[in-house]
Amino acid sequence: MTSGLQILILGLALGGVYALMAIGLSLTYGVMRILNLAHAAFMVLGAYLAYWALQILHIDPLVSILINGPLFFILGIVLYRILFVPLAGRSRYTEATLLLSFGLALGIEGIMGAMWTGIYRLANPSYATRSLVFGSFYIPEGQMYATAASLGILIALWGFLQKTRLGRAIRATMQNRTAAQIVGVHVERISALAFGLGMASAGVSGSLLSFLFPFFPGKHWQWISILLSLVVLGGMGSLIGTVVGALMLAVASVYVSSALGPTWSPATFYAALFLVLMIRPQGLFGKREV
Amino acid sequence: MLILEIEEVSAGYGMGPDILSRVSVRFEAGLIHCLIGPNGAGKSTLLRVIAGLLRPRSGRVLLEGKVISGLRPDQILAHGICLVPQDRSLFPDMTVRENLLMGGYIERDQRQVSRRMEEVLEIFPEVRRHLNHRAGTLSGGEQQMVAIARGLMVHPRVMMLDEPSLGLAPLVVDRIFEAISRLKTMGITVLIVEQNVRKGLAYADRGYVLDMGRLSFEGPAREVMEDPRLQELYLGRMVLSNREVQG
Ligand SMILES: Nc1ncnc2c1ncn2[C@@H]1O[C@H](COP(=O)(O)OP(=O)(O)O)[C@@H](O)[C@H]1O
Ligand SMILES: [Mg+2]
Repeated sequence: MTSGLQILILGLALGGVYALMAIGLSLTYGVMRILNLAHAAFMVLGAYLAYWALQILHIDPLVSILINGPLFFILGIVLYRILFVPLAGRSRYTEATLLLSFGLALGIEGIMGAMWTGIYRLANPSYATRSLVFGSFYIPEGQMYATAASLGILIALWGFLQKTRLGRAIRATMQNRTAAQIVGVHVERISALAFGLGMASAGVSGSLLSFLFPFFPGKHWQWISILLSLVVLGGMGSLIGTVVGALMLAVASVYVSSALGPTWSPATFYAALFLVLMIRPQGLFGKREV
Repeated sequence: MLILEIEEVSAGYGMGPDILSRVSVRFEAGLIHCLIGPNGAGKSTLLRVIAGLLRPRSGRVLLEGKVISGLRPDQILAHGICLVPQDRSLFPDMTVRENLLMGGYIERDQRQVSRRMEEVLEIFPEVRRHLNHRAGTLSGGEQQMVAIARGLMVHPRVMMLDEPSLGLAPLVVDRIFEAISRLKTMGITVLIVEQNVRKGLAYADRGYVLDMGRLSFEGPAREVMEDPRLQELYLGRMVLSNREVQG
C-alpha cells in the first residue's frame, strides 16, 4: 500500500502528461466541433517516430519533441485542408468529421502495423529506468521529465492563447464562431491553425509516450478512450476543464491501481465517463449545448 | 452622396426559398437610416448579406460604386462596413478589454489597436469601468454599448445595428440611441433595424419599410412615420404593440 501523498505525487505527474495528450482533442473540438478520433492514433505514430529516432539516430525522445511538434503541425494543416475543408458547410458536419476521423484512425493503425508489426515497443533512454527519491517519496525520472516537458508546453500554449492576436482569435472562434467572423476573423484559417496545433500536441505527446508506456499500433483505441473520458469530465471544448479532468482522473487511476491492482486502473476512466454522462453530461466546466 | 447600394439582391438560406427577392436600396453617406418591417420580413438577412455573412443568390452590393458582394466578411469589414448583430455577438468568456481587442483584430499593428481603444473609450467612457469584467456578466444595455464600441475599433464608415434596443429598459434604450447619434456626428453612416418603430424613426434621417422580402416604401423618416401604409402594415398583422398603437 502506497501513502496518500505518494499517490498524489504520482497521480499529478501522470495527469500533467494526460493533460498534454488531451489538450489538442479539446482544442480541435472547441474551435470547430471536430471530435478527432484519430488523435491518439497520431500520438502513437509520434511515439513510433520518437522510438526510431532513438534507435537509429540516437535522438533522445525529449529532443524529438522538437521534431514531432513542427512535423505534426504541418501534417495537421495539410490533412485539415485536404480532408476536412471539403466537408465544411455540410448540415451534419460534426457527424461527418467523426466518421472521417474514425476512418483516419483505422488507416493510420493499418499503416503502422504494416510498417512496424504489432509487437510492443518502448523507447529506452538512460533515464527511463531510474527513479528520484526525496525522503520517503519517489518519482520515476522519466515521468518527471515528461511531466516537466508537458507543463512547459501547456504553459507555452496557454500564453499563446491568452496573449497573442492569433491565440485570442482561436479563443474567440471557440466562444462564438459567427461573432469571430463579424470582427474579421478568417475562421477557416483559424480552424486550420487550431487543427495543426491539436496535431502538434499529439505528436509531442507521442515523444513522451514512447518511453513512458509500451505501445503497439492498436494501442491508440485504449488511449483515445482514456483521453475522451478526461475531456468529457472537464467539459467538451473547455481547455481548463481538460487539464483539471486529466489531473483528477490520473490521481484517481493511480489510487485505484494501488488499492485494487494495476489491472483495474483503466476501468477508472470508463467508470468516470459513465458517471459524468449520468450526472453532469456537460462536464465540470462545460456549457450545455444550445 | 451615395455610399451603399443594394442592387436587385435576392438571398435565402441553404436550399430554402428566397427571403429577399430583388431588393434594391440606396443609402446616403453620413445619415442614419432606419429599416423597419414586421418580424421575418428579412431585415436581419439584408444586413447579413451586406456584411458578407450570407452570399446573395443574385444581385450586387456596392460600396461607393465598387462591388463588395462575394467578398469574405473580413474583407468587407476591412472596407469599413461593420455589423452589430441582433444577439450582440460578444465573446462572453472574454473580458471587455479582450472583446475590444478582438474588435481591432484586422489591424495587425498592436500599437494602433491600443491607440484606437483609447479613442473608443473616450467616445464611450461608460465602457471603461467594465474593461476587466467578463462580457457575459454585463447587463443587456452594457453589452450593447460594448458591442458598438467593439465595432468602432475598425474606424468603420458604415455601421449596421440590428435591433439595438431589443430587450432593454426604456431608459437604457435612450442611452443607446444617444450613442447612435454620436456615431452620426463622427461621420459614420448608420443603418439600424428597429422594432421600436417610433423611436427608430425619431432618431433617423430616412426610413425604409421592408415587407415579405421586398422594399415596400421609403422616404424621409418623418414622412414614413406619418405614412398610412405603415399603420396598415403593422395593424394588419397585429405586430405593433398596444403601446405603440396608442402612443
Ligand atoms: N439561419 C437561418 N436559416 C434559415 N432560415 C432563416 C435563418 N435566419 C432567418 N431565417 C428565415 O428568414 C426569414 C427572415 O428572417 P430575418 O431576416 O431574421 O427577419 P427579420 O430580421 O426581418 O425579423 C424568416 O422567415 C426566418 O425564419
Ligand atoms: Mg431580425
